Amino acid sequence: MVTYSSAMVTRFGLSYIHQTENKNKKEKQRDKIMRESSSTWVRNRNIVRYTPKTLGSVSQGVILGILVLVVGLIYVTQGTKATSYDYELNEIEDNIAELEVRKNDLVVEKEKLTSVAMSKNNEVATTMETGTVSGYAD
Amino acid sequence: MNERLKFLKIALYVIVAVILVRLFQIQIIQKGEWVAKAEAQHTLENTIKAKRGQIYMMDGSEAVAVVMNEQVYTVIVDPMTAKEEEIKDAIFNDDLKDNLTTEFDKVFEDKARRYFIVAKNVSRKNAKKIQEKNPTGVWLQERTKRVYPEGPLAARLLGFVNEDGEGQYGVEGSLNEELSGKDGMLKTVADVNNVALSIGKDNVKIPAVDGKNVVLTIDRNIQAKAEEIVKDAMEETGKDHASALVMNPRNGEIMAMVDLPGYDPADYGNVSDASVYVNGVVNDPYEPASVCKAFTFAAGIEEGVMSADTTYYNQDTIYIDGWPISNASKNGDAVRTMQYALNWSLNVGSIQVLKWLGGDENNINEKGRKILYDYYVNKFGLGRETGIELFEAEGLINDPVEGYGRDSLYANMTFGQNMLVTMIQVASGYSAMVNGGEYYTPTVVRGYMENGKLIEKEKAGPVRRAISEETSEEMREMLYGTRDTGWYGEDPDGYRIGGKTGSAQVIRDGAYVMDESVATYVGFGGATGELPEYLVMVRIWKDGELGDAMKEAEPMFSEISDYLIDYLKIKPGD
Repeated sequence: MVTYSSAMVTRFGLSYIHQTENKNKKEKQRDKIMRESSSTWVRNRNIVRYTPKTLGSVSQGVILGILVLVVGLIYVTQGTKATSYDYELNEIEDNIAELEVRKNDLVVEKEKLTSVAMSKNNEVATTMETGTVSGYAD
Repeated sequence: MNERLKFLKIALYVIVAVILVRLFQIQIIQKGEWVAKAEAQHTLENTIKAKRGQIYMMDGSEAVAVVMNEQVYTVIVDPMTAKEEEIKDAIFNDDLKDNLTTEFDKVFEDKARRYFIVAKNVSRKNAKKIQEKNPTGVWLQERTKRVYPEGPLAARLLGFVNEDGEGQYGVEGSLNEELSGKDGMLKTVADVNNVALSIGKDNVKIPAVDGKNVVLTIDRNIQAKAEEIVKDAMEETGKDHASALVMNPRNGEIMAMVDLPGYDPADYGNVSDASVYVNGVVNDPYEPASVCKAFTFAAGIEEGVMSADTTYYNQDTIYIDGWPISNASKNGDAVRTMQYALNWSLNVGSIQVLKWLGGDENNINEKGRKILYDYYVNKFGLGRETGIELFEAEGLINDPVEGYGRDSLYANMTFGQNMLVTMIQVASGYSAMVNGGEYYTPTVVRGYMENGKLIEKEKAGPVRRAISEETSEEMREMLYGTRDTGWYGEDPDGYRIGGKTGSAQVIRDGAYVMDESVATYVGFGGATGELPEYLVMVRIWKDGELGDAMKEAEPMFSEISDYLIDYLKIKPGD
């Protein structure tokens, strides 16, 4: 970019400025043509193979592996979360079963203690007086 | 270099081909086998055992458990890996002394034996102590055992559960399906510790349906008292078999069912004679003898051929089909009333009723036999299953037409010989006879226990009318009269007690023997002016000995009757 001061504009006039600008444009255009044309001047450059910029098979494999790993980790995380509840549930169920067995043992003991035979033979019953028979003569 | 590459290439092809073939074999051809192996490794498949229902009896108006379940353990030792000191400390100690099945020295006699049961029925508490000590080469096997808080009470009625968990005999056997429930199933993915996991799409859980808790109509206090009375009677008389049945004649509910000798159901294998498992009250048909006269008389009254005051000419011995039939108590040849015949249990009197039923004063005929058969079998339910919820025998009432010597056969049947019936049949028939004439199916099941509450089963009404109310009333009066003859002493004021004896001859080697008999008594009672509230039937005998119904059976009845008046709080009538 060329810059001009107001003094320069006054001294050389507007036409000079235009000429200078035109010259610069032409030079640039020529430089560009020269640059581009110089590359085509290299021998056999006109038949070089076009190579697209793509990922190689190794990179694809790695990316696929990472994706599988991520998906797997997500699955495992979810699975572990669900399974952890299972362990908790299992523990609670074990506790319930244990308490039920203990409760049942106590009920059995209670029934044994209140059985007819036990009641009849206990200390209070054995010291009671025999009731008078209400009925039959000999 | 190229050769080497070629060789490597071919080798790689071969390896890949082998892998592909093997994969094809595993994944396609043997797929099922490998899938099954994989599933077996990570799938937990268990049967969820249904809990066997408990059995309850009544205690007044409250139901109490008499057969329960208890979790017990069998202790097993692997002598090859077990350490003697550890085993001695953990198992052969005072806590387990009642459960040990062997001596310590025998455990290590043969170390090649990898499975040695050293203790059975170990309580949970003691099993836990073993677990805490964690001896090497020991494992505990859990199982459920039946426990009987009342001990041997009503053993023959209740039955037992064998090692396979199947109910045998009694209520356990007959209601086995109801008590067993239905096992469930659990199929799920499990971890290495066999903890069920909810992941997996093929998990199956079918919950078990526990067995029903059956509540019996039996009152444990009446049962215990009746057993005590029967046991005392056996000791006093020297007899070795006795039974008692207490029922409510108004609805057929059984209040007590005793059959001794019994056994300990918790140790049911420890008996010398397997016949003790059989409940003779429902399963032992016998000839009930003179208690059957009441059925014959009821038929006569219902058919309008006799009443208590009807007279006949009694002879101490008569001949039917050429066979002599005599009265057990000799009264001489004279005119007697039917009430007198019942009071003195005159066989000739009951044969007279059969003659009248046939419309002939002097002879037995087919018509009479058919009528008697109809009353015995179709109306009073003798010689056929009653429908009680127990295994029961049918008995035998001979056909009134087909066969030789029907007249003498039926003449004997009028006083309860030449026929086979069970106690439950006789008691149910008597209930119909004295309750106003309606026959109820006897029952031992009152309902079911659900969440601690007694859910009563729907009350079954009478299944048929056996006799009219009028006949029933007249039979009650006749049976009160029989008891009032003074043979049995006085009954308490405000109550009416009736009953009838039976001394049955028994058949040995196809013929009646003269030195053996079974003593029976059937009676009923309640407040004066009311229908009877209880009916009791007892029998007692010993092989090779004569029985005396008045001296051996009737006292058992009187004692039970006396207890029932007090226990049932029956208010005296006017």
